[in-house]
Amino acid sequence: MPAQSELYQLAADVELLFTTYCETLDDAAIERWPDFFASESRYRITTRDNLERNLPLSLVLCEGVGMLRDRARALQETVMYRRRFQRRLMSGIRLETADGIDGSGVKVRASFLVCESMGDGPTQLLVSGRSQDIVVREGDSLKFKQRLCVIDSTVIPDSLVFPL
Amino acid sequence: MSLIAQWPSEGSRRVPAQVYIDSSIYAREQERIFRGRSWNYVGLATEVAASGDFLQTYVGEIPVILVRDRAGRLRVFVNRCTHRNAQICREERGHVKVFTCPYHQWSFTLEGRLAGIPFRRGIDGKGGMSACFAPEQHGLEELNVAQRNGAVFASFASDVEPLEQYLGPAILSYFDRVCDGRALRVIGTMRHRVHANWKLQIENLKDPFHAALLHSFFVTFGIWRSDQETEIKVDGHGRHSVLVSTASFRQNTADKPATTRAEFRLKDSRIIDHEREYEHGTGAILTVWPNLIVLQQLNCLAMRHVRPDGPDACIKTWTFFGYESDTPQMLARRLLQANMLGPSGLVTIDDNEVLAIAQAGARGAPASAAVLETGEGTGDADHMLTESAIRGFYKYYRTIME
Repeated sequence: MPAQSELYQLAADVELLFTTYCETLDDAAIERWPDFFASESRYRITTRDNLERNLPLSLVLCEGVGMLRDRARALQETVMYRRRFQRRLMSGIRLETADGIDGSGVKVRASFLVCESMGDGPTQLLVSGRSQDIVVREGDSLKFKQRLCVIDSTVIPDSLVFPL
Repeated sequence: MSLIAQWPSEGSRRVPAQVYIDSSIYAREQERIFRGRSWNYVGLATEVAASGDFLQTYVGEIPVILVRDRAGRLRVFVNRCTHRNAQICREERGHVKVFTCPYHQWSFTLEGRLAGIPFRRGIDGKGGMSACFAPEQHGLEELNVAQRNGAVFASFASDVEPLEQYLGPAILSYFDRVCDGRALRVIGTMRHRVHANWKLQIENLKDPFHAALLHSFFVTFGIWRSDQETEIKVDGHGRHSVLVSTASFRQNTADKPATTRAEFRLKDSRIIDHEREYEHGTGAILTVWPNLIVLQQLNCLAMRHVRPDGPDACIKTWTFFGYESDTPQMLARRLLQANMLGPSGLVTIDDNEVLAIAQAGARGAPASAAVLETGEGTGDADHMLTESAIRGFYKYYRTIME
């Protein structure tokens, strides 16, 4: 069991990971998105409905950092969409486990809201939900080994272009 | 006739913007198409496997309930208490013994019969239901139901032809190719609301030649190219169609989109790695009148139901499925290839965006008409450079609507 001061430091480091992750995506620097993930990682977006019904389908599923890089590049080069601006708010970031940051990883839960502004329309709430992640230390930085985003609603307003 | 009076003299080679934006045309569609002689997809039988299992869905914009009754028979009811209109079913899916309206506790059996009315005889001889009230006349409004290899359809009309005849032999054979009698297994749902008239979404799947121009992801990885082996089949009425296409998985420099800078090779090709399941074509996309898309694209199988939501929007529900007999490897393929489809789909996003700007364009020019001059006729073709299936759709649409 780590000492209290180490736990505070870890919580602060995890919070910084989430903050820079959101900042990077809000700045639309999609090419840097895969850098937040460990080489052996799993990224998944699904809905609460699919999860509760035990259905394996995802809105986005990337197994390994190669798939993350492919998606990032496809979004930059092959997918057609109108310019949009997003703002991510993540709160309630809580470490579910304390041990394992240098091994199997620590479990982190959080809530998210993503707002989107497009064209001359007002800002709209795109999605809300919770994340269930596993964070590990790789070198001297923290990375997502697993990021699972569970969207509250069953219906998405239009497209979910950028990652959560 | 008066509603679409401005249909241009070119016939189905033009589509007036009014059909996408006008609310009285939209209301007539609900009455004549969705409440008319059509078979409307309502779900998969496996979603309501046991007696009492129900699923809330829509026929056009009308909320309905698909339920399996006590004898195991599938029934579809309008989701409305016959007393004072409250919806008797509030959950999207679940299991019940009876449907009870929360307002005054009227309850209905799984067969739709009004079986329970509180205070029917009043209290202490006072009040209660009128002596002339006949409960047997106030059962749930029921639709006709047809089933084909696990897919369930409903119709408000009592004189619609049998489903097999409705689909016609060519469409039926491609429908049966996917729903071939094997037990289906639902693997998940995606749903999103797109800012486009429901018909724009249906047309999109009848339009083979946008794919190689709009969908750079498909072109880049040789999944859909303008020159690949193609078969288009349209039923005799023009209302249903299927686009069958065979991917080469080869990149073609001539077809390569201008947006692609350096050569784009996938670091992990599992999201497009295909395993042959059917004898020809790597994709067969059916549109079944009025608003169902049966999608087989590589190993992704989905029932894509397009629910009208006012003239300017539609809600797409994708029910992805496989077979109970799938190997874990096949399931993994279906799940990874789904990255191309739905609200975050690397291909579908293109369509959502294009449909929304097409709707906005029609809104901005209500007296205009879209031009469908690619290719000839309203029937079958063995190439992609035709809009014949869209013309067929509007040929039939006019016979229903005018």
